[in-house]
Amino acid sequence: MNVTVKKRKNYFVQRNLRTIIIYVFLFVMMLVVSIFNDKFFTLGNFKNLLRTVFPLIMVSFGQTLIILTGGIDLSLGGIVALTNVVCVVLMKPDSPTGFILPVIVTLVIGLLAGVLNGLVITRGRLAPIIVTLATDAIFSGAALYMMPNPGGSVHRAFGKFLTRGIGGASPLILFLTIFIVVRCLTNRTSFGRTLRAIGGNEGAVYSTGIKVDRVKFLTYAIAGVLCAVAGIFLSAQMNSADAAIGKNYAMNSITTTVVGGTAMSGAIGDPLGTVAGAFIIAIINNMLNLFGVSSFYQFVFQGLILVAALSLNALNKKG
Amino acid sequence: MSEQILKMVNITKRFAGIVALDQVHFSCNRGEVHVLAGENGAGKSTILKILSGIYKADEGEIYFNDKKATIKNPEQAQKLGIAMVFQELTLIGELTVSENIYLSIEPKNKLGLIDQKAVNKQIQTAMDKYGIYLEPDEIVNNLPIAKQQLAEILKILVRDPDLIILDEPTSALARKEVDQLFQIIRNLTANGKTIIFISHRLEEVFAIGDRVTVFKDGRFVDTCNICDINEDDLIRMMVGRSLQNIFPHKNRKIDNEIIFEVRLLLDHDKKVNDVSFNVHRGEILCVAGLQGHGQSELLNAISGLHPLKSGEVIISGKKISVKNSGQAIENGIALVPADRKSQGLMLELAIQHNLSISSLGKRLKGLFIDSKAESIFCSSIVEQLAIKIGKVTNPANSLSGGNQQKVVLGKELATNPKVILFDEPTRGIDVEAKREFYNIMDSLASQGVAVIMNSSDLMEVIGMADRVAVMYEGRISGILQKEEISEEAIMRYAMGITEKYFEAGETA
Repeated sequence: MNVTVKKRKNYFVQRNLRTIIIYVFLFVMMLVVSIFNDKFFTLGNFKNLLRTVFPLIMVSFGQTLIILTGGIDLSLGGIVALTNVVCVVLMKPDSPTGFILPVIVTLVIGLLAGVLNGLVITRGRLAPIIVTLATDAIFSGAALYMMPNPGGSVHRAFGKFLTRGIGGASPLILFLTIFIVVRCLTNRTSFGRTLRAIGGNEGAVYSTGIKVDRVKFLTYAIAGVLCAVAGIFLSAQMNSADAAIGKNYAMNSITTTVVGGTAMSGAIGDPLGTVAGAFIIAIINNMLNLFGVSSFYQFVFQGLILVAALSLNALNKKG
Repeated sequence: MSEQILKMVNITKRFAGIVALDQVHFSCNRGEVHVLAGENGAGKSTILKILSGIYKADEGEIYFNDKKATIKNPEQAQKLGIAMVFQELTLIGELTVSENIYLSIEPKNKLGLIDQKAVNKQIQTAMDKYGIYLEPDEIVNNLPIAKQQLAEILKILVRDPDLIILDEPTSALARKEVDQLFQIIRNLTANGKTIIFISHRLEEVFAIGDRVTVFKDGRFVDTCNICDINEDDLIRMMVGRSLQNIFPHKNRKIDNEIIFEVRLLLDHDKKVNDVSFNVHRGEILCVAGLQGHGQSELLNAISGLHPLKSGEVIISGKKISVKNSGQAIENGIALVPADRKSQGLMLELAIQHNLSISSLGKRLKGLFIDSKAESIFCSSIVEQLAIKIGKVTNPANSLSGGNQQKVVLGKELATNPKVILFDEPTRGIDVEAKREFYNIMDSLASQGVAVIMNSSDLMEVIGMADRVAVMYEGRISGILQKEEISEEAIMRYAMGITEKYFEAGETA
């Protein structure tokens, strides 16, 4: 048989076509923006941009993992708000080590919130969209209960380090570290393969003798932790907490995930694309600000982008 | 006598009160190819799904390697060394061939990450070992169905189970690939593996099987050595129930006039392949065959639900177009679908609403529904079909299966069809309701409606049909006239045994 001697075909482009297209789009957009804004391609602007999108990227990583399993999580914003508030409430601004315990506790709270979602969805055999709609109310409600009005303050040294430390590179380092971990998880581990496979055909994965529920449960738990990272970063960035901060994160994370090339039906997608998706959304908002467009229109615009991205995905599937 | 690897004792399984398996036994010896045979609904797939952990038996015990085994889920089955190649494949279309084959058993490096080089090396070794060659990095959805089937088989083989269940593995394979699969099976059994094999192709059963176990209606019939029996014996074991007296006498007057005809229907993936038949006035035509040979697709195609590539549909000499179900209904074609719950009814809505939905346009008062006309219409249908209901405003799911099915029929009759297609009309309904249904079909046929029924219940086909069109792999493999209709004759055509063979068998 000549098949054996045939060299293995290179599938790199076929497999990564979506991500490649998104990055081409992102760079074209950056070039266009730089025409209007001569300060666009400066280090300062990029530092700024990364700081702005960092929390959204964290949440979107979680959303991407969940959407890859064919699920969805509307409670991620609630978890961001809850962890944001918990982090600030526990912080003691002036004690030298007052940030260590609050950070750990906050991460654990995020984990527990994700665990709750995962448990109810897998044990109760309930639809993720309904479960997380309900838990979102619980998480946001708890955040509001703890802190009805925005306020508080963060451990000063910690806040400064997280947002501007190591010559302003600490958000970048943190981002790269988490990105590498998440992408290895989805693309290089057995867990990631299973996660995608569940999004492709859950019944088939079960028949293959895989613990489907455990994988789904872990996915929601991981998303909870990622949201806690976003919550902590926001505390440092704002030097305070706001129980209402989470309200747009669910929709925004879905938008960035879909714009980033992940299919809503699951299985197909890449966290690398999600990163581009987040930057695309941030740059568009940045532009609209620059042109003095009202922030209300920005919502309309974002909705339109989501519809466009979904339609493109649908067309892609048909073709 | 070789050693017994599997013994299943007194297995009983019920689905919603209906007994699918009744105290059956099944056992396999190490190193044999054991064929499981029986008609549709005999319980073959059910017992294998119990063995592989998809279903749980209500009663009975399983012994594997002489130890009592509990198999609650597929994971436990795999741990024991039991793996199944399912009829409906378990590949993930979005992933590549190698990702699917090594799903959850990927070789890993020191960091716990997938070692892609090792995967590539292992898959090459596996492909060389079994002679199944596939492009490892191709996305499964891009593969033709036969290649997918081979990938599924390879996926099971790399897991190296002791007992391999193959549920109709050859249905999508070409001759050459079947030979290749048989070679693989022989190698496996030579290495002490055990194979349980289901196939509806008799020639394959005799080509590869060592022993055969026959089930009928969820009961164990017999286990015997294949070398001791011939094809006639096997068919005799699979069929032969007593005919229940629930069918109307066939004393309809059948005209020569052809009231419905299809010519050379062909769909895109040959599920329906050059099918032609006609129906005379007063006649009931049955479509028969083993599951998945295109019968449902044929009925759906005629009623506009399954897209056709070419072919003609002719009602009373007039060629019509059935591009969608709206057109089909307009032209007088009605379908009583196989699955009343998902295709026939809106379970949560009122009976009245269900009955009137397909003929709403007939009872309008200006823009609005004439509610008086509607309730008169509903009570007339309820009366005509003797549907046992409380109130017409009750939801459809308050009714028993048989009455639900009558509501589906009533809804279709309200469009005054010239052709009515029944797809498995009596599945899951009780005997009395069945009898009523048969009478309704009988009177429809006498009134000059072309009645076509697809059924996997052979007794029903024999009891009702004036003629039977038997399907095999998308084609009509034979049309049986009145006195030719018998279980054996239908089974032969349904298994694709050729005309020549058939005649030779008859004279023997």
